[in-house]
Amino acid sequence: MSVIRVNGLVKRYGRRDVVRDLSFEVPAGSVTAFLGLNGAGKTSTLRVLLGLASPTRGSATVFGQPYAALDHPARRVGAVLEANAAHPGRTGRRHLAVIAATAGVPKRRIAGLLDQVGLTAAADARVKTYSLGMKQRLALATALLGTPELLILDEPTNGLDPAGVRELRDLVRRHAATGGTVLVSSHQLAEIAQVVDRAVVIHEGRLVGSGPIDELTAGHDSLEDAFFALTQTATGVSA
Amino acid sequence: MSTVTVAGPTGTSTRGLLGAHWLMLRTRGGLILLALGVLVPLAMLVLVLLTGQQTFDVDGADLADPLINTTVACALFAPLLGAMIGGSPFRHGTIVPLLLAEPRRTRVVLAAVLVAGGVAAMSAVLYILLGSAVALPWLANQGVPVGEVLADPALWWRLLGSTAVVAVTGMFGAALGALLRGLLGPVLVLVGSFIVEGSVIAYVNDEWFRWSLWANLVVLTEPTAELSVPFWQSVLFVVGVLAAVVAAALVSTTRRDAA
Repeated sequence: MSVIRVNGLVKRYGRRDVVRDLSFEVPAGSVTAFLGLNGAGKTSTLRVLLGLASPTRGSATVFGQPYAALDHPARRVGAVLEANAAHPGRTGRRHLAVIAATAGVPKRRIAGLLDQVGLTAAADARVKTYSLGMKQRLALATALLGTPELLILDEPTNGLDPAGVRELRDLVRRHAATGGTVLVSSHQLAEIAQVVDRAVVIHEGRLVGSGPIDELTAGHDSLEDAFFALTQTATGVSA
Repeated sequence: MSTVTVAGPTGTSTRGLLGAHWLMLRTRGGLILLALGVLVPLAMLVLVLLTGQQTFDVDGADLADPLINTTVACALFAPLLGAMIGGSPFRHGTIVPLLLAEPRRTRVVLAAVLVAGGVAAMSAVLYILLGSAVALPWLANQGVPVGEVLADPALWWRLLGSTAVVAVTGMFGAALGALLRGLLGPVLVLVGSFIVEGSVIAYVNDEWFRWSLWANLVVLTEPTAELSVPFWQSVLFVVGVLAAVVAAALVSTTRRDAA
């Protein structure tokens, strides 16, 4: 069963198609890498998937429905899209309280989450004093507020120190071990190769490869090699 | 990052969404603006009383003048407060986690408008209480029969009208904040409309003041005044303009990409 289904998706900004007839699925219980160079259309796809942007054509559904139609979306989907999504004048704890109130999540969950992402000591400091890594941890705590079944993480390792990267990797593994699904976009291919079992590769808005990781990397030394082979082939085709 | 297991969410609610907007206002900037919205009119009231710019008789409406005129000063801060509530999530990017938690955008915008109206009205009521605590003893000391004029219904109607105007301007601010996705735009629109409307209409034809938002807002604070516009018409006009701005904010927020 597919948790995420993107079908013939086109997203146009002005005269430029940033996502072009993109179709892929993410099976339940999988950890799927969403890979592409900068400007490949990953974030635009995720924004459409999460109901933050409307598709020009095609569809993107989560649990068989558009995100906006989900009942209690924060309970089903947790997403990290950008680290700078908290008011700089608010404390980390207050930011979580705002989102918890909006999502209908009990406030008592906040302290545990702050501890989970290693932000307890900085919980009452204003977000403007946070490093990028701390903002990333706060964004992750926000995504985890509703104990979601599906995690969608866009460049979650940006700004994280090595300890943070390892903790994130463990979190993704634990989430998958309990039956959860993860779609994670990242440029750190070596890092991401350690946790994913599938990958979707896009280039210039188009799908250039998808499937189980061992199939995609067959004939290549690493995920990185496979990624460049796929994207360079696509560049050659489009040229 | 250790695992935490706590009972799951209970679901989104209107109360939760209103509470979230109230929480969002409680930044340093929001609290300073709230305090100024009460303290500046209070300072103006004290100045009016001390400089003797107001003469009083036993008519309740006259007694209400200094208090009501300064209450309207709350309406200068209410749009700012509203714009902060409606526009700040877009300005600071917090609209993304907010819409991920509550993707029904109309609810998010309506909650902002309601909270802005409620907070603005609260600030007006707080000012009226503080202003009364200052003004009434002073007036009693001047020999004004305060008890008698407090019984005059005109006083209460005007105070109610003033509070409504402050609430409405707060709601305008929030709707414009959501529509223009920021703080500066709504302020420029509101201040600009105040200046442009008054000067253009005064230059062209005074009769057109019946179609002026600001003139109609003044009528709400002064239903007994000899203006060319009936009170009920002003109420309809203001509600109509507010509904149009809120509708525009809802349509824009629903149709445009959130981020």
